[in-house]
Amino acid sequence: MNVTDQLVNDGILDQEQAVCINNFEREKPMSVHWELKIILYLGILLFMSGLGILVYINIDTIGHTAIIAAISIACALCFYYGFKHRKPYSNQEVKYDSPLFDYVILLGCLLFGVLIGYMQYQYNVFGLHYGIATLFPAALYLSMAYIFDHKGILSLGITGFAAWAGISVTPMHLLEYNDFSSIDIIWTSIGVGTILAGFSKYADMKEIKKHFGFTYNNFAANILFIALIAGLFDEGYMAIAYFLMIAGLVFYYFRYAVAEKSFLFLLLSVIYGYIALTYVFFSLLINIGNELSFMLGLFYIIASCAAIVLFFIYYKRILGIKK
Amino acid sequence: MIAYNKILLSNMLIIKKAKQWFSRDLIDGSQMATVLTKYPIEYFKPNIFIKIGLFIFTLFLISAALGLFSLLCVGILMHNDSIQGYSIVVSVLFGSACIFFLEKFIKWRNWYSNGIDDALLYSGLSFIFSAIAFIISDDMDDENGFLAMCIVYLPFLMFAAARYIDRVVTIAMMICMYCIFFLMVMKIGNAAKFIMPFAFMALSTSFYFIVKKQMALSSRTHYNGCLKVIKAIVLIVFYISGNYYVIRESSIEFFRLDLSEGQDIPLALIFYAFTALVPLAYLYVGLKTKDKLMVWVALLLIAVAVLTFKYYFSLGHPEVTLTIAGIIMIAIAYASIKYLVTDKKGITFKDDPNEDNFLKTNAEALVIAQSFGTTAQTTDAGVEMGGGEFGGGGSGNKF
Repeated sequence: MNVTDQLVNDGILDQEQAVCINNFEREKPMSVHWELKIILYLGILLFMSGLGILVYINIDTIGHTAIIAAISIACALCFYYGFKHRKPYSNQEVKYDSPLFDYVILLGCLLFGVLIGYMQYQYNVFGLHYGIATLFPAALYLSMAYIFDHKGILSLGITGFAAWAGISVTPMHLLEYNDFSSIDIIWTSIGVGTILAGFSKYADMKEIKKHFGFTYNNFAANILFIALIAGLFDEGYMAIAYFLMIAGLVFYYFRYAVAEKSFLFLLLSVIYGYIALTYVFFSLLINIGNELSFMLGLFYIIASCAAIVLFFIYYKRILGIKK
Repeated sequence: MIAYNKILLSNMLIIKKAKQWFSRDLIDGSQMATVLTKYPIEYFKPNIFIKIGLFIFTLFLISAALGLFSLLCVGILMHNDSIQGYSIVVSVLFGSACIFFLEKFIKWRNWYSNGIDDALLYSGLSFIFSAIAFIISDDMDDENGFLAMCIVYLPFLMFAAARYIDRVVTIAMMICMYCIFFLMVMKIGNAAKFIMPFAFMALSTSFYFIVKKQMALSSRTHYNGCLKVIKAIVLIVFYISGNYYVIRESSIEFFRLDLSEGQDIPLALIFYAFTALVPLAYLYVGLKTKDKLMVWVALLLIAVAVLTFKYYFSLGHPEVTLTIAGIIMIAIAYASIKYLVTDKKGITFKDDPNEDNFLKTNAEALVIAQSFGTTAQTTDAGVEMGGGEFGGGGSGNKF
């Protein structure tokens, strides 16, 4: 039975309204909002990749001045458009009516990154201070993110900042590119993660761009958990300290998840926390080295998984979330 | 037929619709409130991330149970050398247990799509299928064994898809059906290579009309999700079976077609036209009939068509192609957005007001970070123009 017919039958809708609703269902326009945005985004992605390679290959033939001039002009145009249509800064979320606005700013920032990289490569403008060549665009991205209220550029700024500190935090490269067996990387990651999480916490308290919290914390949580677990796996005398830090972090993100109703962080803390706990449990078991320990391990997995499943089923009651 | 509580399912549908109408002021607040109290959806519906967690940990739980069970049975295995027999018994046992718990939980707790039921269903089916595979695999050669396996799997998949209205199982069911069809046509022998593309097109076309008819029936409302999946698969397979690349490569692979330099497959021109035109036709029909699914399939297939032509008629300059493709896409998107500032022919650029944007906008930021983000710089002279140069790892290093 049709939904409108049923509602009419049950006396919730009158006939007139039902006709009106049926008309609406038949006539309602199809939204191609996200489809067009995805095409636009993919277009920018392809364009930037193509342009990057093009410049790279033809670096000797086009002429540096021409390349730099072309990129600078394009970049300047993007930012000119951006500043012309910009709304005044506010600590709240600022929404732009034109869907193109975000992408123009993104394109401008990306072009700026290309420009800086090119100038450093060709003219060594920053000399041997490679750090500045990374930090400069990152700082620009971060400020642009606040000026134009742009989460995408914020995340670019965060990856740039982390890259300056020496780690890769782009979502897929977090494990791939970082050598977590080095203690330096672990401590750098912990530092970067703490700064990001701490800054986000501070901004939340001051009510500055609260909707950026997810982006900051998503990077921070993943970096911190992975670095701490890597430290734990390192099996030094510090293992217990790392374990306690992981426990603290799990607790922090539990509270964050509940406060922000952002259950990605609940899932992340449970998964990372579970990895740490299981690792510790099994290394203890191996130390004991009893023949029963293997079976005990299996019992542990069954019991712990059952406990987590139960926790997820009753998470609202356990964490005291009202519906 | 459906295992889940049907009242729950239809109440969910009613509330979803009512929310859409409420957000567009077609019904007022008191009516919305009445709908919410009159059609309760009292069941456990966790957040998507919780659902993922439940799914993962239920799978862990089942595997650990399997491990423990096997450990306890080591003694039996020692004295009995029939590993195969043991595997069959265990698979049947675990498969039935999974399905049993699935049924019970749905009855007791009114569960619907919360991660646990999905995990139980998939592992139950996998256990049953591995039992079947253990039974069949021994006494038949590869091809016939595979065919027999698919034929035995199919009724299970159809039953599971119908009973648990599950989309993943529906996909498996369709793949299974097409596999059987392929192997059957192969049995014809030499003529198969000429028939194959047209046979697949004919099959997909008939499926399409069946699905369309089923979708129009109001008694099939609960199957809407599954039917949509089937429709998408059927549209894609119809295209793939006439795609130039697929025809050419599969002729070489399955039918040992020898193509010397400059030679082309029979009817090449027709298949070229098919490759290029069918996605555009899909796009046209999709936009005309306001069929979002078809638009998505069309967009995907347009990309496939472009790649197909690129593969055979390459200019040898991928960077030029990338740049131009990027400019074209930006231009198309820009023009369409400008064009759709006001609604045209039932198509709008306005976002659906009731859609949850939180995930989308945040995901967008992560995708941007992934594709353009800066990877770590080291201070070695050799990599001084690493990651950040062209706006990221996506372009700088890999090509």
